Amino acid sequence: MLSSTTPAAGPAPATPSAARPGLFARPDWGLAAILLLAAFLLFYNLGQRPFWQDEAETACLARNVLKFGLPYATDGVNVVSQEEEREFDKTGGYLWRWSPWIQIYLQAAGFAVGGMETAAGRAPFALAALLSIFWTYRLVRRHFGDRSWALMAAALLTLSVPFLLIGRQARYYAPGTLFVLWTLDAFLSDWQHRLRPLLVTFLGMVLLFHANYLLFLSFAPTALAAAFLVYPERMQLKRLGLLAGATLAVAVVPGVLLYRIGRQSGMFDVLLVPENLMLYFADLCMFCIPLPVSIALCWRWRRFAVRLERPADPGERFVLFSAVLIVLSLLFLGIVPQRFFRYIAHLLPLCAILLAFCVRRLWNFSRVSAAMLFFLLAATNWLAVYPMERLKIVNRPWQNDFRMLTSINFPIKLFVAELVQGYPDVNTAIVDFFKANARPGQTVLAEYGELPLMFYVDGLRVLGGLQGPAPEGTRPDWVLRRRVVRVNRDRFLFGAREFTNAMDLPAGYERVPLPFPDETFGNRTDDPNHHYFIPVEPPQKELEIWRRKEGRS
Amino acid sequence: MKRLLTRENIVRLLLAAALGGTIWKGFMKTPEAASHLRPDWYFESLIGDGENSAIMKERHHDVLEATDKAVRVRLSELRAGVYAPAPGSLVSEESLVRAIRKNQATRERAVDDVLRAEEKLARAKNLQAAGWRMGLGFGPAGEERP
Repeated sequence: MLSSTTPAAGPAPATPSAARPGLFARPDWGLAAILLLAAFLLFYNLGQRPFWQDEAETACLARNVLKFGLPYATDGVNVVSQEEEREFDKTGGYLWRWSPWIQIYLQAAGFAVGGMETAAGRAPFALAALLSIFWTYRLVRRHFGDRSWALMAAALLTLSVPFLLIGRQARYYAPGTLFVLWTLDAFLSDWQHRLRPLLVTFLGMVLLFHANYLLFLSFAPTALAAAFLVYPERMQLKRLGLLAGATLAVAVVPGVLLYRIGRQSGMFDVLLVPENLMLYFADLCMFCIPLPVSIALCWRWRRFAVRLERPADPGERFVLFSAVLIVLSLLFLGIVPQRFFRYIAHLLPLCAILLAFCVRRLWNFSRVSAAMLFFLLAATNWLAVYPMERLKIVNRPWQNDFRMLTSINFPIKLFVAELVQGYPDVNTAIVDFFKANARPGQTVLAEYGELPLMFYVDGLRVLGGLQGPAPEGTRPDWVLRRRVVRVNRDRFLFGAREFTNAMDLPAGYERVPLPFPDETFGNRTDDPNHHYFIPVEPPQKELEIWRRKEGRS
Repeated sequence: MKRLLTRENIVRLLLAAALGGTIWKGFMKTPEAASHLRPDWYFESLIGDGENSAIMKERHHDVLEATDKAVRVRLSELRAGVYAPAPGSLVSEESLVRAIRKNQATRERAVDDVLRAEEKLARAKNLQAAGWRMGLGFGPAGEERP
């Protein structure tokens, strides 16, 4: 059906030099239009919703970087922790030794330039997302010389709402995606003989590790395996050994010691692997590559699966490489106990390249079908959700609203609606309440959302959250109870919840009536299952805030 | 003369039909189209979904409560000496206490889940009663009222 054939294995033909136009030789207005649209979607109203818990963790650490030069987990009053204080040693000066530092320093750079504002903190990450869109275009155009394919890939990535959501987060997701694209760009260049692509690959690996080592651990070995399967003729073992050795010596070994990765390996649970795999593949089908497209590609590449026959066309070969890399990454991530969509977010540009390739090839076969496929992929999620509904395998958590990405919708319309109308964020309600009502020096015991509170409200002592048990004898001035119960690594209630459960709140405190619904996360956008674009109507349980009665100590 | 009925043309036609069918079916299931064009079906689906969630969460809650009671009974029996675990059994006083503590978190969450499922059902019913329609533009709450 699609015109290319799959001949026997052999070296991929070199891309003709004519297919490598000077990238900046003349302006590409199509690309300019896409980047303009992407800039609007990534930067518009960037600070409207406050940091949610994870972003606020990075923000508090970034603020400490600006004060002390290093990411300390305390400012002398409050402690930043979501892992019951496993992230640092108190005796070691509270230096953050849990997650890599690039995101912290990037956010600190944003604050240094734009002030302690939400938008300033997110701007470097949105810029990385914008560069990722450009690099998606560049990678396809430079190595395969197909402008239409490159433009469509950039357009599909620009209109991918999961990508836009992660691109607007002050976390490592967008920089990690960019580093992956740099590495793949260098891999497709003549790294076997030239020094520069080799250095770029090395640099990409080091940056990826320090963006997020799980991203590195899930990408590096799987990319290597995919390359051996799809590009065996490109694998120059001597240079590869040099690259691996240098990456291990410069990034991995010091990083393992600095971030104490061994401490986190104890979380492995074999019972979670099947569920993780199932949910990752559901995420892939729902938000990345629709199931019918995957099935069509499996059929097209059946000879590769059976006899390792690789496509002759360099473009299709790279798409096959991307597909193998995606599958292997998901298999690898299945063994990691914590499962989040953010761990596969760096694969979204590859998905866009793959989908754009399908449209491009279909165009030669049937223009009507190609136009319809592009519309379905760019403007809707129907091809992803409808077949899953028909097969009764749709992954739609029961709490989801029908105006979310897990239901049939126009995703980009939902996204733009949130952008232009704003969203009444739960953390805005909490922060505004305490700014208006709490006095400096008072203590707040918050079950969750304590990190946005720490970042946005000065002078408060904030306890609880995911830090671990509150100190014995604590008599907080305020208690913020949240409706969703959270458990720690041992599956026990978090200390803050146990603490508030043990308090006789009606005796010593008065409940402050609040009209704000207690939404679970706020602007958590790394996982499309959790993101609301349009406020949900009442009834919704309100936030529960208790104030200590006057005269009680 | 060029043949129309070739294998390629049949594939083209089937492909176009499949994609066109997905567009049609998908569009008719969007809140924008369905709430205007098929409101009865649409709200019945929403309410049905809400009812399923409510029933599922209520049952889940019941199961957790029953499990908790059973573990507590077993713990009291063990403490009273009525029940003695078989040699080599994984059950001990410590494991039962741990199970109750773990179950507490799940039970507290289940209580809220029941409430959330009821809220979801109530929202669906309210939307139907209010004659809610999803707007085509980027309205304040993405909706319009008749």
